[in-house]
Amino acid sequence: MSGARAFEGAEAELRAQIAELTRELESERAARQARERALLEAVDSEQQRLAQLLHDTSSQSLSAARIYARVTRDVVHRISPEAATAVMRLEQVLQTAADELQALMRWLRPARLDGLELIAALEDLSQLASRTMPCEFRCPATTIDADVESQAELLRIAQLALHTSMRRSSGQTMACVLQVDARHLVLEMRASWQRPLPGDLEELLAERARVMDGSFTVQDERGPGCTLTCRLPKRRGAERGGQSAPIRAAAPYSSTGRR
Amino acid sequence: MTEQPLRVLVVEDHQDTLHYLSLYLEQSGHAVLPARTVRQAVEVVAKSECDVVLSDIALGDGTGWELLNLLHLPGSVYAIAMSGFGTIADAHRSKLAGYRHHLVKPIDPDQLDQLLEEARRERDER
Repeated sequence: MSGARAFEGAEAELRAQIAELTRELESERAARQARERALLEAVDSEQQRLAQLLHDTSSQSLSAARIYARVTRDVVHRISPEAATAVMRLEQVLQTAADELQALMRWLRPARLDGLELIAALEDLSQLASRTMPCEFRCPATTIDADVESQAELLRIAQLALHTSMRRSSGQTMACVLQVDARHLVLEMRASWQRPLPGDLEELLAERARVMDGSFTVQDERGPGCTLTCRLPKRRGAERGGQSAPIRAAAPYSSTGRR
Repeated sequence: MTEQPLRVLVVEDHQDTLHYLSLYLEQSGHAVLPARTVRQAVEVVAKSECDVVLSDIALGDGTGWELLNLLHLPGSVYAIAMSGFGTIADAHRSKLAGYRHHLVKPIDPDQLDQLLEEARRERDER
């Protein structure tokens, strides 16, 4: 009997230890997710600050210079049409510089939904990428019934992936498809070449997706291409039966902020 | 018959852009009503009528979207928004706020001329 009691006691103690370890692990997991989220938010926030700074300084000055060059051309034309042609070339250079700066600002600025659905925002992103790399986008669905947080994160992951791919594309193309099923948003980005992303960015994007209980994978295809797939649940925590750790959502962009 | 100039309310918080844009519009034969803030724009419109509103979206004391709401202008006024970030979302918001067009900075003077010509035609047909 004493042997049985001792066994029961040991079993109870073991159970208590397992429960304690499980609690510690859960607590550590929640703390780690919170740290990861805070880090990602800090990166977004810094990028937004840089974009706003460029918008408020260099972009404004370029804008003024562009108009001033046009005013100058009209005045100069009355005196010397040849000189006016030179001023027109200056206008073109200013316009090109402004376009390049604007593209940079838009890439830096964290992608936002701004009341738009994800479909329109991804279409916008695809158009922006197409300035450098042919990039198609399509979505068979017409509406997205997912949490705003999930949509915003999918958009952000797509932005990071497309921006980096674009810089490594050298004449290649990308085709993006957004699929919506009962529980997930799935964005497939098919690149016509392999390794469109550096390994560390693949890991970062996988980490971002994981924080949202989703996944980000890169799958080589037969031939030269590969497919980047981001799969996020439509509802955060749904994958773990609603037991998601409470993590602060990304700060929404203020509609009254400078633009 | 001499054409009546368009009265253009230009709302822009960047001093140089406001100056050169006004210069360009005046050189093109329009009458400019300049303002640097939402508050100034409201004050200007209280005193003078305008045919066209040409407003930046990011203003020191508010947005161009809020401005249009505050001005309570008749539907005949032709409103054009300008912004530095050329996103679909911004253009969509401008449309919802009542702007007829949303131009991305630096604005193309030829494109602006075309829009102002359309505004003039609409005004003259009324």
